[in-house]
Amino acid sequence: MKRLCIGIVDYGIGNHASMQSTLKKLGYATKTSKIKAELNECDLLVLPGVGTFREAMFGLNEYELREFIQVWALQTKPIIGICLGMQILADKGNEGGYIDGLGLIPGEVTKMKKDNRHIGWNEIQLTRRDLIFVPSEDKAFYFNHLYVFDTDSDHVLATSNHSETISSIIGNGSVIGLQFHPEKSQTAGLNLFRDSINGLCNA
Amino acid sequence: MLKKRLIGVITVKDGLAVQSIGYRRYLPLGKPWCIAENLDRWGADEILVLSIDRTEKNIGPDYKLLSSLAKAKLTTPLIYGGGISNKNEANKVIHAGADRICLDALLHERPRLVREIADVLGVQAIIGALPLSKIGDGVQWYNYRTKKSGKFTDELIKLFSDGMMSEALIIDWKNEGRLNSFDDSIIKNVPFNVPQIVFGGISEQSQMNKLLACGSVSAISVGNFLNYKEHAVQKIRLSLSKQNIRSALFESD
Repeated sequence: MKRLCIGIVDYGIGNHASMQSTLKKLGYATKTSKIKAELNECDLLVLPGVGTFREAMFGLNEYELREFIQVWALQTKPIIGICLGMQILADKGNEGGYIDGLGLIPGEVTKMKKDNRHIGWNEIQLTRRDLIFVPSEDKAFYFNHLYVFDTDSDHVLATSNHSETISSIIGNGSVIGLQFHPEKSQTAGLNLFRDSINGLCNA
Repeated sequence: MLKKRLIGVITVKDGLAVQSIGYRRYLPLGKPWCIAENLDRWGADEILVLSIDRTEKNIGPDYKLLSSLAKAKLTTPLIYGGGISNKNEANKVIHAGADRICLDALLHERPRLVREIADVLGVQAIIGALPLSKIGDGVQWYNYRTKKSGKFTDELIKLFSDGMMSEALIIDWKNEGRLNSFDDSIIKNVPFNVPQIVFGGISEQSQMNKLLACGSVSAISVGNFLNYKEHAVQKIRLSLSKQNIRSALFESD
């Protein structure tokens, strides 16, 4: 049976080595690239985290990857956005001025209202009994963000409690976004990451 | 609910993990990736690696160290500090295996570059390290390169107050490496309101309880004291079960 190949999209920022090592630990082949032809050979795309909305979109535009990812999603091929990678799935982000996102999950990214940072481990509560995420309910994952994704409840799969309710998992068809870092959430993260990848690729 | 954190610290000098005592004496411990693997297996909330000689030697970040840590396939968030002097290096450190960075020298020497790094990595990825000691009624920060203490400059206070770093790593440098000796009066005298990670001479449950109860403290960091016994992290969690930290979790659970 062919090993799944996960494409880690390189838009100039992101924790690539962390992502690669966790995916390899889970037994997947990986390819970190900004070249469309190379990413096209993959089974699933990961948009990694660690960076700013502005820098990520600048990188995607510079490497002409914005349309590539949008077409990928239109073809109902799977995408997992992680932390910043989840946030750029939005229609736009407000980070010192509005910037267009990929528009793959309707919504907007804005700064947290009250306590303006969510850094550390927090549990997720499912808002929909999606079979992929049921085994991860109430488990703690590692979050590290100051901005949140505001979207309608139809696209929210799980939330976390903080000074405001955080959308911790969102989805739209073959595209899901994880606000936390599954690649850095130890056993719980490994299990959820594997369940997400296998669930999306076998759908 | 968001938990406070227990961070394992690895101090690295000349590529080797060392026990640092009062920023003056260094005892060799071994390969940093071995200690990182232990902390990862024991469930530390984050792992902080401080390469303490890189800026002094002007040799930039230790990418070789980061590569060895990446090969260890850690699934615990990794914070790296040491030798970062501009946004390109900061970005490269994240590409190479870190998830957050820790800055010290740059805060004082070129604070404008901290803002540039925040524009690329985001404030959440940046921690400002402040070795502090109580002097008179206040605290002063310690410049480990000149070995002199000084008052906070307006520029440094503005950098933190403007929110350019998500947390401050408050280091009781004089008591680093000494059992049960963290001076908690230093955290009350910091002239800005930023969540604090505390480090230096923290080894006992009673200290940890007291520090975790402080509203300003978001995490406690422990260095070599975690290496004295197997599963030290889990044992600490069990002893702090009433605090808002992650519970001890064992493979059999």
